[in-house]
Amino acid sequence: ENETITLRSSDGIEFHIDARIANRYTLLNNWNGENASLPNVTGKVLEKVLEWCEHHINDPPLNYDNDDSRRRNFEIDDWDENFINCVNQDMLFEIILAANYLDIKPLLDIGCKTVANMIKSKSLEEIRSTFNIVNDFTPEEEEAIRRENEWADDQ
Amino acid sequence: MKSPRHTLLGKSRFFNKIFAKNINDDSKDRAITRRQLSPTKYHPNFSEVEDEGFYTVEDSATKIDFLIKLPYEIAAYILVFVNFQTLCRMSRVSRTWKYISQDNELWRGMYMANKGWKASIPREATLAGEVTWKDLYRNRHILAMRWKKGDCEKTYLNGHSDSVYCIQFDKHKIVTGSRDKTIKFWDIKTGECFQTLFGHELSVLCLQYNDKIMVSGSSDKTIIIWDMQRVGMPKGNNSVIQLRRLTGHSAGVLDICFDDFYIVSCSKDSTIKVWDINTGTCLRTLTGHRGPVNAVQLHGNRIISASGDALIKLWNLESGEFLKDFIGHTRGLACVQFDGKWVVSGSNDKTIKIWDVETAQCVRTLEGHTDLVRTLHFDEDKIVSGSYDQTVKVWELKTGKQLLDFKEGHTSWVFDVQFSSTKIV
Repeated sequence: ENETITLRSSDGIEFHIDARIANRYTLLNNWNGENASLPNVTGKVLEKVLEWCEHHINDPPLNYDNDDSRRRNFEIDDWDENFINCVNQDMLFEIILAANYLDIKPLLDIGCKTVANMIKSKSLEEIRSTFNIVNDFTPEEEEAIRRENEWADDQ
Repeated sequence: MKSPRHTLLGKSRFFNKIFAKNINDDSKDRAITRRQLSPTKYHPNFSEVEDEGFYTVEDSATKIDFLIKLPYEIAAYILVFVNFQTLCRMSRVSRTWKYISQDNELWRGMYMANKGWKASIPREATLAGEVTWKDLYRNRHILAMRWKKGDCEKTYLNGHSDSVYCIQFDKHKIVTGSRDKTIKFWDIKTGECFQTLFGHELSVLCLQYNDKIMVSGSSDKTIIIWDMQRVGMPKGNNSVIQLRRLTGHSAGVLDICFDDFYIVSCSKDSTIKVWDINTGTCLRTLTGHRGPVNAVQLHGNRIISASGDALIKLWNLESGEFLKDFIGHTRGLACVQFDGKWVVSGSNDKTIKIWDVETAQCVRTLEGHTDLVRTLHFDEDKIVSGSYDQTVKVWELKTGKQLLDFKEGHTSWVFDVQFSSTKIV
């Protein structure tokens, strides 16, 4: 059987994971061992992150030398979409932070693309209501900014 | 697949509750084993949960302003995944969103993602250091829209007493050669002629200039090299402006081009001549065409020529060796341009052909002009062509699609055309 390592979340929950996951995302190795625990990630969040890692354990090796190709890919695959759509905004927020902290780039990308998708093709009011944002522009400012950005609507 | 939203609201709360309960149960366990970490455990039926995005749940407690709450780098990274239209809309959401969506690095990336734009960043921008990439992007976008739609202002230059055969322009001026034997310099902003050069005894058929010199060819069989550094100086001293006169062709000089060392000219006498730019001596004469050579161009160590004999020929500049023929046009050729990879040619058979220089095969034929294609100019995106059918057309280089058609503007044959990102002349 495969070797396992032990990770402990900030609130003390232990996870035994396949060593191959830790080898894929090298930062995870830092918290292998009896006494080490991840300072910033709670058990609830770490569990979701590991669930994602587990599913992607057999993915082709990561090649992030080329940041451009990473940025050009705007798609999220089906499994990931299901995975990410099943969490609420709080959890999505925590997953993005954790993926960034643990340097799990593909998961960070999925999180960021998901937020981007929540913004895309929405009206101003829809965006504000999605993220609970208060419009803090004065009517004059609003009009000026609208005019400033008018050019983008011409296509 | 998508169920109507009203039926989801109730259900989604239900699923969320189950989901939350599972999490809580699990956190009571001190250790979670590997086997338990399977997604199906929490979501036994994906097909039902699938549409349950948190964004369908109308509950303000779970709404987070991600861009403000996340560290700036991550917030800016999210914006990498939206397009410029969304970015512009985002800047209207709130003050903080405006600030983040104007991130200069982000807009620089957007700008650079456009291949054609990347190649021509305005020089002012790179010199000044402080560049607002969103503004730069905006200007290029507006320009691209104008190319797409053909919005333009036309300016007519009046002054020559006969047909204009050739033009070249830069930021400040337009230079034209005419059948009236003169070359005129025009202010590009005001459209006023500020200098006229006399020297040729017959029509000026072709010209090319750089900062130092201008070379012109004429029906009078000669080539004149002019001192460009004296253009714009007080008149009356015309002879000084002429540096040298090259003679040797036995008929009109139809096209010329030069680099730092050589001048290449072609003539109605079916030959191409290579001249030393400094001494004015004719180094060699290339023969092979069986009709007048209408167009010639230099690129690196190669010369491309197009002739009334319907052939395009490629030559070695240094040795004068003939390299290959490009065969396909059914009638005489009027113009050719070569960028090292692609050769684009216009012909009396009314078509424009794009050739791969390595294989000498025609990769695309553009049809649309209804008369001889007299002139063309291309860059990495587009071809602008002018024809005896009195139109100027713009084509996409990659697909061969016709993008624009300027029908009104000329009332006679179009002899020469040149463009930059902002202008067609």
